[in-house]
Amino acid sequence: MKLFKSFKSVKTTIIAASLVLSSPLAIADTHFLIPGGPGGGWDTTARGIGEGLVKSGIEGNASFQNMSGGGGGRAIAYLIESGTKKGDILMVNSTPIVLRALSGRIPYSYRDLTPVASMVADYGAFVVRNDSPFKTWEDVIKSIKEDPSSIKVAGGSARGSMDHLVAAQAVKAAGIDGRRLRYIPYDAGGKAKAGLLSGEVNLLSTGLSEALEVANGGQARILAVTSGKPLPDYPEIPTLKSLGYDMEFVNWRGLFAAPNLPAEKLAQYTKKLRELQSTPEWEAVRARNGWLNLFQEKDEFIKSLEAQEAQLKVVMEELGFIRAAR
Amino acid sequence: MMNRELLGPSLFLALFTLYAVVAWQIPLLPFEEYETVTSATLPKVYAGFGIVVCLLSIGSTLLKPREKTNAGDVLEKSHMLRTFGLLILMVIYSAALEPIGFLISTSAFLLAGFFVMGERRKGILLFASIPVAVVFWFLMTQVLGIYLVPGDLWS
Amino acid sequence: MFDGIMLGLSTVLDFNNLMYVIAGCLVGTFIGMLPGLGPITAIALMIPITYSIGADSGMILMAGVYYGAIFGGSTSSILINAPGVAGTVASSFDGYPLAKQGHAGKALAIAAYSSFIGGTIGAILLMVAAPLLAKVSLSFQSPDYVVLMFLGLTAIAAFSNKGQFLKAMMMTVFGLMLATVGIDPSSGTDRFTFGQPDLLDGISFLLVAMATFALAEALVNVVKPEKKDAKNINDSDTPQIGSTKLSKAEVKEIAPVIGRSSILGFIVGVLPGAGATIASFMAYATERNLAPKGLKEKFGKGSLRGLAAPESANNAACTGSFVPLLTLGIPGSGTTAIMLGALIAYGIQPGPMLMQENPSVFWAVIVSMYFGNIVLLILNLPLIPYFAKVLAMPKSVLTVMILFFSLIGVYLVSFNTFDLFMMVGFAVVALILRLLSFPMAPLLLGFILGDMIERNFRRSMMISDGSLSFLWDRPLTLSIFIISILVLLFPLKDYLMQRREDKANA
Repeated sequence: MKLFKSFKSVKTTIIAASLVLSSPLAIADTHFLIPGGPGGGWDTTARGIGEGLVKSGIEGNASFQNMSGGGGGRAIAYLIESGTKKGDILMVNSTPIVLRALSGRIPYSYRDLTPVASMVADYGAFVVRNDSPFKTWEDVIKSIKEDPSSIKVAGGSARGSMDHLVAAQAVKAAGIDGRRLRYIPYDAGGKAKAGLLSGEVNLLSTGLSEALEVANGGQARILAVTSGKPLPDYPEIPTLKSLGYDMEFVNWRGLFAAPNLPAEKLAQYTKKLRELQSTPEWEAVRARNGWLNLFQEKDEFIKSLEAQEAQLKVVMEELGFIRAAR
Repeated sequence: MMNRELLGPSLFLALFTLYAVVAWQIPLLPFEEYETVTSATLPKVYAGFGIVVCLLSIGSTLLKPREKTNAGDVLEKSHMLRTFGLLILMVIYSAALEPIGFLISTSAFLLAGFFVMGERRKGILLFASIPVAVVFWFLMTQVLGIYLVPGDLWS
Repeated sequence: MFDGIMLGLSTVLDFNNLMYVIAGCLVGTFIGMLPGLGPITAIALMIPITYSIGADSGMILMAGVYYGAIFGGSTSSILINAPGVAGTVASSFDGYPLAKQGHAGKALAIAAYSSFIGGTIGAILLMVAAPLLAKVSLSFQSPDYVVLMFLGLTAIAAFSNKGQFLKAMMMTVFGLMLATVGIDPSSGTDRFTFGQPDLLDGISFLLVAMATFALAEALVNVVKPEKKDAKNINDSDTPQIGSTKLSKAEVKEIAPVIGRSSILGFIVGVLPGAGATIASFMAYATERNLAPKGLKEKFGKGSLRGLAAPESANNAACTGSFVPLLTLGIPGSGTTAIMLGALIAYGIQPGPMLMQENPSVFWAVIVSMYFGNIVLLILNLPLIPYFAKVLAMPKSVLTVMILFFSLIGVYLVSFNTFDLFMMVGFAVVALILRLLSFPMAPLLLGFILGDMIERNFRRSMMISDGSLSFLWDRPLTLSIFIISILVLLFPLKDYLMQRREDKANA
């Protein structure tokens, strides 16, 4: 067919070109593995870190691979299997890896990998509509104590996941049984926001960055945040601790590498990430996304992971999401 | 005697019954035991409704006067073989994609696919398979920045 | 408001921004045509580029890509029955038969015009009533979505011609069941996963759609090729692409359809919990029910109305989904969620303040939508004959290509070969069902709606502390519920009247 004859010359050129191009097709200097789809939280974080590294010259180039599925389990499995065979792979992950390991959703835990560093953090926040009768977090607590079904908390994730657990822990710190909290799950943060604003629910448990979006829009106010210390950019938001409730929670996002990572490799990564912290390119990425810096190198990172795991385990057992250890 | 009209609903009946069995076994978390509507509720509703519909359909077919089955539905053997061949190819392609890599698996799949479909012209066999795979690879990895496995066997 | 429009116009008419609109539309169309790579991936890939060009230009580019993708998705829906975007599935119901009958050119033209008008009407409504509409988006609560989806399910009656009703029901139930696979979000338990971690997230819509539409269709044509007079299967038939012109009568026929569907689509799009997909299905069902008796039967076999309705509705819905995004900062869909992320990254706070603090972005987006629609129409109409040439490929090549595109499309979303195996499995099932004359559309409808109905239903129950009263507590919920019951009973009325006529004539 005439059409295909013209392909002949094009074909030769293409094959030649592709052979030339395919050599750098192999893994770039740093290869980021993203356990979620493009555009999601993990994706943005990984690409942001990659951008920072490349733009500031610390790294030659970075490539990104999305591998969603199994709540992040697929990517973890892949990382464990491919190990160090495939070059420098860094996987981004966050608090859900701890959560899902505890609930059994994923058959792995952070111990099956080498934690490299924590990079940024987000805190939990509780939001009410502007016209809500609840002026402070204490009002909410009082209302729950009188009648647990008076407060319906919306969250952008399923029951037993982060938004739920944060809310449950917060009320537990006030002496209320977490199981009595009425948590209403929505598919995503955006839908949960809609639920709050439409009046279906009266409280929203979400990440600080999302809470700020809706609060700055003038439609809602943040009653409390789960950081240990008041936020530098928003000191007026009370922390649960400052209100007298002993509870804090941080949703960290960090990087992991394959299990048997040689020590020099780890040191190499850590050095690069440490350098990144002070570059203006990283600051631009951070500010643009509204992240808070939380750089912790491996040992400190592992300590935080262990602490968080213990904290969440207790809450999850109390709520009945996992059976207590035998 | 299985007539064509009964085959579909019967298959569905079997499927829905299986579904119902699994649905009744859905484990309930402790806090769910007090709720009226649980994870298992809607599946049970669907299963029940589905089974009713299947029975209605089977019933109405059996009750209808027997029509002359149209013989126009004979499937040619060569076509069935072809279809089967394509299905096998798809399975092989899916299995080979990650180990062997995108470029080679895709070119092979396309080529084999054309062959199964009866295409024998060498020009088309080669030039509609390999260039397409290459162009596609180029667009995805270089232009759009999407990562395509180069093949686990070779890295 | 006029100042705003002027402001928007001046931003958009800036040469650079015009280039972005055009580029966005082109890229979007191309990406939309590749099944699997939907607007979400397209826009996500655009984001890094947009960081360097500024907020308004970035939003314009992304809006262009969004619309382009929807249009591209229609093209593959119509030409090869491979709906690349969920919102274009309904377009294939009548678009593909039209293409098979040799009217591909006309079908693509109708899709182009309907999309254009739908998007334009949406843009006008958006301009005029955005702040008011914000109230509308927030007035819907979970119970309302339950009954709205139920109304959508009653559209099943729309897909079933006489005698097929029970079969359609079986497919719908099958779809509903498929939707229950995975982790139940309301409680966290996993259902029907049989220990497979890949099933925990449920089955993706794209997978089901591609397997049951594209793959099954391609395979059916292999198993039962259309009888040609002793021609070799490999000769390319000179397909009548047909002209792209529409006769005056045809225009008159579909004009009111487009008008109604655009408004319906827009309103559905405004609701955060519903989007282009539901809008297109509902428009299709509505138009079928409103069509005069003779024309009703044509739906599903190449009805012009059946194509125009979902096409206008899905574009209008896309525009509508910008309402909650811009006025409230609430993304109604995955795509708008990404745009929201981009807006935030630019430092722009969507919400009631947006119109006051950053009017240039607000109006630029709206006016650019209008331009995007025009650009799409101008770019794509002349290209239609070339798109339609795709059908000119020898069947042997075309079939394998369709198989390839479907498989790779799904792979590019999840990068999981398990999904591919599932697709083949579904394709086999769909093939058998097709050969047994089961309609595929209700399966998809049940699948899409099943998920949403259950979530909203469980939520409503939780919020009402376990009572069903939410169905009649609020007037809005009650009215939609009553409408859906009426719609369900409507065909019954026809049936009864028919019986009475028959009795009278006997």
